Amino acid sequence: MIIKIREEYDIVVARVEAKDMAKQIGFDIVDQTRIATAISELARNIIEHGGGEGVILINQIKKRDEECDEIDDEGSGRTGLEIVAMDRGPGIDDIEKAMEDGYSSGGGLGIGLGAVKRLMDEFEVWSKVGEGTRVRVVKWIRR
Amino acid sequence: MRDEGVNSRQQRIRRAWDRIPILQVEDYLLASIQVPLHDELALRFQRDLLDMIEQSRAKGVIIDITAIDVVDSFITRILVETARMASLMGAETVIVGLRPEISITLVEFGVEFENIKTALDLEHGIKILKEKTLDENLSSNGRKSQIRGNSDTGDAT
Repeated sequence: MIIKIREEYDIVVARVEAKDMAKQIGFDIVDQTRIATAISELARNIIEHGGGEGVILINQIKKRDEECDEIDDEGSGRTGLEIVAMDRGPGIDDIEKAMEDGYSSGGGLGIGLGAVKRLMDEFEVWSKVGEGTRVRVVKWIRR
Repeated sequence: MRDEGVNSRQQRIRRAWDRIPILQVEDYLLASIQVPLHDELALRFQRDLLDMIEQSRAKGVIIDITAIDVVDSFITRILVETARMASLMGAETVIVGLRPEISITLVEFGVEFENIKTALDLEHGIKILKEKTLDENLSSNGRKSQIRGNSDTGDAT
């Protein structure tokens, strides 16, 4: 699913869609809330620091279990939700600093990307000054 | 297909209530947030609440967030700011209805409801405000010290 983020209403849309999808896939209510909160922050980052425009991709993904060789559709692998947030904004010049709590380059929220990382299982950020930022996070269903 | 779904949902969010109703019960104001808070709605709510405090001379405010399914850093900031503003106008704020998943996420997320009282539900929220205003009444007309004096003499005998 692709959600365009262009204005602050879109933050609510992204959050509602992500929560719905997480619920459908089978995440419990706490994980649904973690995912919705994380996407809410990522979408707001696009609006406030990412040049005001970007996209968020939400996908259901699977990964093979360490123990079993084959991945099958019915679920010997693990199911997860992947969220990718991209913008062509000014980029982050100091990613380590952006990860710290209380740091906010836009002088706004005071909650950094580190908080998003804590809510999710996987976290990657790519950014280049003048080109934009891409954040990829994944949450796996617990078994 | 999917895009239409997102668009119609967006329409619904836009059309959703453009105001959060605030009710007065005795000396307290009660606001129950039932729809996703976006920036415009949040700022209008702040302003409406402060206006209501001024008009009603309310001593306390209860904000019910039972129906909110996500409390992100933005909503936290709005709630903390609103409570601070209300406090400047002499009204104590209690936030009620934090569900377990919200509490878990807030703690992991690392945001805090600085200087805001929270309570499980409306009933507890009102109790907290009543105790608070009772304390203030007692201390303002000096009955508190009198009571303490009485109990001291009681201990002595």
